[in-house]
Amino acid sequence: MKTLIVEDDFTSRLVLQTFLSRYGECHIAVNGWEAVDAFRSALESGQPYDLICMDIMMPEMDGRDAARQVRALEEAHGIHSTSGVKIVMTTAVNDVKEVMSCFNELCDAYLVKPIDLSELLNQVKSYHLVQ
Amino acid sequence: MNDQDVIREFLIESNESLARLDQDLVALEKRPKDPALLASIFRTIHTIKGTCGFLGFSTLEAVTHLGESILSQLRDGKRDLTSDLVTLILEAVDVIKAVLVAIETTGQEGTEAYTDLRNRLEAACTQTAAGAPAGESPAASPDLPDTEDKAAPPKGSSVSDSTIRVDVGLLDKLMNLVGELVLARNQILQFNAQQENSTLSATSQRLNLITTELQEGVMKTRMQPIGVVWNKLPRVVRDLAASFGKQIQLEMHGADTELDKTIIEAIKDPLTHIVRNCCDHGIEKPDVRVRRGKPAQGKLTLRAFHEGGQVNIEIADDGAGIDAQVLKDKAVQKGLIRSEQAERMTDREALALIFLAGFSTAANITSVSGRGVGMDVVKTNIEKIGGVVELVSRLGEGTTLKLKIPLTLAIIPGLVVTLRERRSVPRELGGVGIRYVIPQVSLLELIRLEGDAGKRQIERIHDTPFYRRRGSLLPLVYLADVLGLGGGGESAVVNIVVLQAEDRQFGLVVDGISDTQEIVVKPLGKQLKGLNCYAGATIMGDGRVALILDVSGIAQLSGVVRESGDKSAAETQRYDHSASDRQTFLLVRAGAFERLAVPLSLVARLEEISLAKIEHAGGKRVVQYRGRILPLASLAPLLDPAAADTAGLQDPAQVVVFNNKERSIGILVDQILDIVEDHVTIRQATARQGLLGSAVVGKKVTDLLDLHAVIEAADEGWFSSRDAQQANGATIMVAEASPFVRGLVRNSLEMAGYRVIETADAQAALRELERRKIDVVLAGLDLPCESGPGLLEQMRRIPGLAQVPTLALIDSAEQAQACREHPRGFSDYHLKFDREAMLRSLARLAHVVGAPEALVPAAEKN
Repeated sequence: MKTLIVEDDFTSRLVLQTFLSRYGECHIAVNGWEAVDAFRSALESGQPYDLICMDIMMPEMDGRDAARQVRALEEAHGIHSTSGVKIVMTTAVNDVKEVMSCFNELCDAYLVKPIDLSELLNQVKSYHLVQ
Repeated sequence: MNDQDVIREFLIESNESLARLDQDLVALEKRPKDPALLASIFRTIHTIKGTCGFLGFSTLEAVTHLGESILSQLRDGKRDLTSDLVTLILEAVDVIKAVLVAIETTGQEGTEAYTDLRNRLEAACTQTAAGAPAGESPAASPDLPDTEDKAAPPKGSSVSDSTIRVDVGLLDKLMNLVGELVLARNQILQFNAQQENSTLSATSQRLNLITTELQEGVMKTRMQPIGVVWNKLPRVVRDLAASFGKQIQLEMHGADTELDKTIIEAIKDPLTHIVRNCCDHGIEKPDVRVRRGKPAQGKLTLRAFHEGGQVNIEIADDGAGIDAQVLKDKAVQKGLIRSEQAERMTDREALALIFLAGFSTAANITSVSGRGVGMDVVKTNIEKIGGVVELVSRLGEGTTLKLKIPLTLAIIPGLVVTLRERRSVPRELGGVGIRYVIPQVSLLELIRLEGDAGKRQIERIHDTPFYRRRGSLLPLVYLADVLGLGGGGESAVVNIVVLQAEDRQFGLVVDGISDTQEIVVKPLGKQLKGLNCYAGATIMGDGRVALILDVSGIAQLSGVVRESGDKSAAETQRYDHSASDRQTFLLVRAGAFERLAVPLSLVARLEEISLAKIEHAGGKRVVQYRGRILPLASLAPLLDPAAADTAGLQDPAQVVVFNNKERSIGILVDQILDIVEDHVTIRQATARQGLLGSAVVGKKVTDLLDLHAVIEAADEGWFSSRDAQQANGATIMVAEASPFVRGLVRNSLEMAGYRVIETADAQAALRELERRKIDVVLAGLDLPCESGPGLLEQMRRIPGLAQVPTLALIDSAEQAQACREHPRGFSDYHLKFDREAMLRSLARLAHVVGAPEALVPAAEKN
């Protein structure tokens, strides 16, 4: 499983990286721009990410915009809907409108911080990315 | 944010997107390959699924997940969209809605697991995994017009940051407060009018402006586009079309037309019902439509627009139309009306039967309509909010329902009228008298009659007072009588407020008319609700309460408008005439003939000529008139040679001038009485020279002048000499049973320079046709011996006559309809009294035929 962690907060980044590295390669981006760039080059090189864990509130470009661009990139490559990379949004905001707006950008899951790692694992398992 | 808030937020957001989903899915069925549409639908379902997962609604998540999977397969092109599939997804949407309702009421999803639907969804999912089975046909037939759903362009789903949600209760409260403010403003304005304080006056001016602006602003916050109601219609239409095996295309125009939220709520159900009715009764099955020469796909058009402070909503289908006869039969059968009533009914009145309670024409009772509740409820609901329902239907072409609805109910412009103090009224209300407010929407005009001359214009027919307004009779209603206040004695002036109630007009007589005001409508208390002559109450500028009159209630109470079920014969006749077969007559008096009528269209001018100016030339009276010599003839001796010439007795003499390009003649009459527009009801031919017969014009028996004979008698050779000059004066045959109609038509044609041959039946017509050259034939449909069409058929068989253009003379709009559908060889058709159209048509035909080669004595009668 190839993962991209997008997170501006160092601690959160560290926790996720430590945890997800067990299941495969783990890359880091600190804002939406970087994330979209990283995703694009991976996609174009033929080695796309399987999972993106992304914070919503970030400087430069926020997670929601990044998710939208990621889906648009996939679309341009003929990958429809949610059949491509799995996007898990991670955020401290527990607001149903926020939740709905993220799903509307076709994310796959929405986890509220502090992140329950076992829940994250369950999600990843439900995508059949790990056994 | 607590859990309840979270869930409420979720429900609001979801309901909005679900409303859009229905529409999108219906649109998808038409455009199954539209990726943007598919993406939008997928997004919506995905959002609900994701949020449900987040909030822990497992049933919803499961159902939406399955729906999402199917959509995903569609997107990936793994399967084609079928009608069944759309139905299945729509079913899933219904389940989602049902669960959302359960969550709204109980906070829980409920125990229902919807296993059946889930199994079917699952089956549908796996079906494709093994490849789409054969036999499922693509949903959209390729020939379907790929029309954009103009009413609801798939909106971007991101919620704009510039809007907030406001509780409707709060808006209602604001509206009420603004209402109170308007009242206070009115009071201040009135107070200010009595003061001479410039500071107060300036301040109150500002208050006035600000209040008006605030009122408009608050009213706008309550406005919603009608699209809110229309959104669900595509789904309704689609489901109905599917269940009836019909093809219906729904078009919506003006979905962004805004109206008050309370009104939106009030029209929601009526509108849906009307649309259901159109789908069920209106639009025919595809095979029937094709047989009738229409496209297999029926069209349902919704249109909304603002007009005159009202919102107009039109629902039109291009279906079968409503058969008035069927309606009558049904109504008689159901005992709603008596058969004599039915016979007297015009088609328009028959159409109104559909609004009677307990009326339903569907042969089969379906789940949709035909249970005898419906259109009456529609009408009541629309009228409850001050709206009007109008029904227009053409058999075979479709039906259009027009709703006229006020923009808002809370604050309306109204006219303040007063009644003088009467004995039965308590003293303290004296002074200004009692004030009432009439909603301005019903107001047509104000009439003030002064002195005895004014009062003479009020006539009585069977104890009912009428006012003669521009030649038509306006029934009058005395407000004091209707309200049971008793007569107030005679007064010097009569104030008439002309009002529109349903499709009738009447004049309401009041003692005084003040001014118009913005009034705040307050509902009446329970005790007064039963009084249907009042629509509510309002507080006036001086703090006193005035009652708002319910115009249709008053009309009904006074008998001007009856409940549609029991219109009396007189009533029926009074409104019998459609505008098309009305004619305008000039009424004159001459000698012993008190009322003589001549079609106004034949009259060139009305003049008053001083007796001193009348000269004699060639033994005839003439007058110099507009640089020419106008021969004059007195009408009375022309009609009755024994009568004395009374025309010269008064000075100036009144003259009716007839002319054509070449010649004019002035007919001296005793008096020019009036010009009335009326429907010629009773006809009786007379043998007297110079008269066509008698008819009831303007409620009185009137003789109709035979202008041809009169002018011929006055100026021999008037017609023939002109014919000689007019090379193109074609010969027209008028084949018509009624001598009265023949005479009228003949008059019109001869005045226009045609030679006219009259025949009374088809046999005579054929004989004449063989004897001489006829350029154009005008034939009545109900010609004796053979009908008009029969005559035409015979003509077609005779060489030489086959090419003669033939016009049908028709009596009514219904016949026009029949002719339009089956021209049966007629070149054109015209109402018997529609002179202008007839002449236009003739001019065209005669031109084609060319000038006649021989001159036949023009005035020859058969």
